[in-house]
Amino acid sequence: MVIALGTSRSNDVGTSGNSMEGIQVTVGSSWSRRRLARRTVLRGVSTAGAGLLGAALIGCRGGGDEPAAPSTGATAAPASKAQAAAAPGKPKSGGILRYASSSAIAHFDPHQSVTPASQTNLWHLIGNQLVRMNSTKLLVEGDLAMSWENPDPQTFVFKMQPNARWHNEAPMNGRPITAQDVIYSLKRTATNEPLFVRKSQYGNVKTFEAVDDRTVKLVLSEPSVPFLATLGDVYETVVAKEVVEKHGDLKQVQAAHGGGPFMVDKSTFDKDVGGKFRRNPDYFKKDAAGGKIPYLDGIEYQFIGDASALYAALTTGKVDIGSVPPENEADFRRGNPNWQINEIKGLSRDGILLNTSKAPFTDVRVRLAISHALDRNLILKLGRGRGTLTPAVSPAMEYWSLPSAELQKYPGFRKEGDKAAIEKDRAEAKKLLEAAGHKDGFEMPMETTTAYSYNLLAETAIPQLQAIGLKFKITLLEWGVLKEHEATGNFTIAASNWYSGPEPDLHLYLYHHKAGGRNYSKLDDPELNSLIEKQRVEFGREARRELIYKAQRRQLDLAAPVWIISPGGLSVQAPHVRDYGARPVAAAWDNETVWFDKA
Amino acid sequence: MAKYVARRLVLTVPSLAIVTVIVFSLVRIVPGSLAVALLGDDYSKEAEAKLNAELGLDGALPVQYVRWLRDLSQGDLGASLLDRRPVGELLAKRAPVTIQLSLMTLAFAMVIGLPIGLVSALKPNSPADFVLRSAAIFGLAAPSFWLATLFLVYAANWFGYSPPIFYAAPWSDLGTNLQMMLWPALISSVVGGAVIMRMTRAMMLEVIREDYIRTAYAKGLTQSYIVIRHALRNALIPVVTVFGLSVANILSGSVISETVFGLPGMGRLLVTSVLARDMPVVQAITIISAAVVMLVNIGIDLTYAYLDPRLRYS
Repeated sequence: MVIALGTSRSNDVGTSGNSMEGIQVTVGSSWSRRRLARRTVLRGVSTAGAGLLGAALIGCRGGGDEPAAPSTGATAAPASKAQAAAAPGKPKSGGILRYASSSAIAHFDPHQSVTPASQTNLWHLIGNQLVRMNSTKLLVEGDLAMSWENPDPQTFVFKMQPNARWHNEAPMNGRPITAQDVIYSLKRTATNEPLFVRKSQYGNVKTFEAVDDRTVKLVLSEPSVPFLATLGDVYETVVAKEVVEKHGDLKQVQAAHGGGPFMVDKSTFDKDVGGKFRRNPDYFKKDAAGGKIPYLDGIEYQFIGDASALYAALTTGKVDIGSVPPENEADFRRGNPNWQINEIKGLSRDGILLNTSKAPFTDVRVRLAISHALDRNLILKLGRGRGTLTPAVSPAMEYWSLPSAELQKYPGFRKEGDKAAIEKDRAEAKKLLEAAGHKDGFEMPMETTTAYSYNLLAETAIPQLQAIGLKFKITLLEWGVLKEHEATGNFTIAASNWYSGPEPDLHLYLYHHKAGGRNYSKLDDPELNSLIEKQRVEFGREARRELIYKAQRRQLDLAAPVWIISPGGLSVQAPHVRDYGARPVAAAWDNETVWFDKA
Repeated sequence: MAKYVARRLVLTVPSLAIVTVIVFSLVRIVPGSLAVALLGDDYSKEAEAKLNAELGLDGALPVQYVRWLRDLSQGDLGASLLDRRPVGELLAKRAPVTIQLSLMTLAFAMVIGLPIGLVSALKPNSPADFVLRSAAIFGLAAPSFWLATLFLVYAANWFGYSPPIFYAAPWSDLGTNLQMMLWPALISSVVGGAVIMRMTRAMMLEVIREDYIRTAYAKGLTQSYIVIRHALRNALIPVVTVFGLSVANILSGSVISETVFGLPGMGRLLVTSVLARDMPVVQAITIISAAVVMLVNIGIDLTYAYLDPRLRYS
């Protein structure tokens, strides 16, 4: 597939993951599943469940062959070409890719979803977007758009693929996918109703316009570098107006009509069970050699909510792709010596959330004391096992994240085993507490949940905080309740985890700007607000990075939230699977170029 | 008999009514809000109120309860709050899986528990009896979810085996279906089998000391004839009671076994619905489960008459 590049000035972007949690693994209420999840869920098999195709909570760069850098200048990385180059040999057609998803799906309406499971398990296989994130390269690429440009900083003009067509099934019967369809879908996402949960991301769009059947024009009220990431978000599926009108919404699989590489067998598909997909013989994209894609005959997926069952299925080769918990790596390697195992960094971040509107965390000295007192390497070792110490922007985005060499200069982020520095940091933490009037420390509950192993963070951090006189007692909440407390501000301190896509603005603005949707800390620092706002309109890549660095440094000085680590994991794939990367985002659209190297 | 059955059936109505109140209240006092979960980053008090109104979760609880009860009495179980699918349709797809799993579990429990109990009772305090009793105590003590996890992980690591993961209905692929059902049914039957074994042993020990058993031996009847025709039948009444109680345990256990083994039954639907706070689905599954348990208990009571003709219903 060759994509003509536009003259975009605004391609310094990634995609966004605007899920409430990124991914949801069904972690049952039983003790057994939580025990298992402690060591399993977040580390691998189903870390945050966008399903194994998405591998979302963990993950960073795909295939380990390119840094997670943003695009430069005009960027629209041709997904199929890039992927084809990653594996030796000529792609062969045939085969059924089998995978198990641990992600619970609430419904299938992409524009009303808060978790990407419906996308990775359905829409990314059968549908298309205007642009999308290459899930292994972390670059925005055209999907229905073959090129785009910015005539001015506030205007995006997209030229669409001429051959894109809906699947040859009623009611569209293979008609072309037009700019009108794209505009309808974007406007639908921006619908001002409660369930359209991403409408606020389009609040800065002044006009949505289909200039002609193949040209989409969007005019913003102000320049926005991350806007392309919004468009490339995993939820921005293009849907047909006539389908929505027929079904009322897209919540059931009967309304799943797309033009993508695969077609879903609606008669067998069930969101709680799984489903089968077959190749779309009329897919408009071609590979680099002009051959037909997808290569696979089909895809089968089964919903498996239990981590041990997922592990067993992987170990015995009943599925072709997935992840394994790091502690099971040795067993897995022994039993599957030919499988490819990739270490992947994570885009999610573990952190201690401090409500800056409530005492004692109104005082920055108390917040800093907590940050200083933590030996993050020890937390990583005892808790997640795999991962990276993180500032505000996840290190999975190497280009944007504060370099580890600089991070190590900050108290609490010292080199592993540097006991002298750690002791010095704790002494400093005690001084800060004393200056804040808490010489003898204080006691209070710390909220967390066993779901997704968030509790590991609390369990490993609390003894360290006790060393400076802070006594926290864990209050275990159900995951949904914890998230409700975060959203409503009904907490004082909580140990939690959040996922956002590989766009630095999502890691900064959402969580630290006074108007950010996940500014659960209630942070409102003029300097930080200003830095975050500036990077949003800075089109120069280097200059933007400097602003983002400054914002991260300022955030470290404010210590809200107290960021700890980005959990990592292991992605595995059967020996015959080719061009399947360790995916950093909850996206499954790369499956259009996956192929099997076997007879 | 018919009068007795009719009276028992009528009496289930107030019991079910009480269950409806409990279930309806419980799913609403559980912390956490569906609206908050659905709204994600767009949460606001106003949006939550508007969404609750859309979902029919506004208004006073008694009003909501009466509305639900009215629909329920007309056979309308409501629709999923998440994807609007009728709950009846959801359950119709999943009930066969749970029914099959429950029947297989009950069968395994009986097949395991009864013979072992008999052997143990006929050879009391023998080495075999000690081994079997120890095994039964282990079966009672070992949680089925733990056994299931051990089975999955170690069978995979040691033998490279795991059950099929892509569910097949028995009418489409019986072999795959049985492979999927065998292990969860076997593991779920351990507890029930252990209970039945211990009850059978205890009752048989009591019965075989009765005078009429001694008389039977004196008459020269064979041991197998005495055990099967005279002792076992009398010993079975408490065992049947335990069997009835096992139905409730198996239904609740299906939540775990279906989740762990990836079976698309009502138990797993209950788990996903509870986590998603899909109240109509949770309510429907709970009510149906309660009704099934009540009906099974009536059936068990009727079985007593067959086992002991001296019993009369009035």
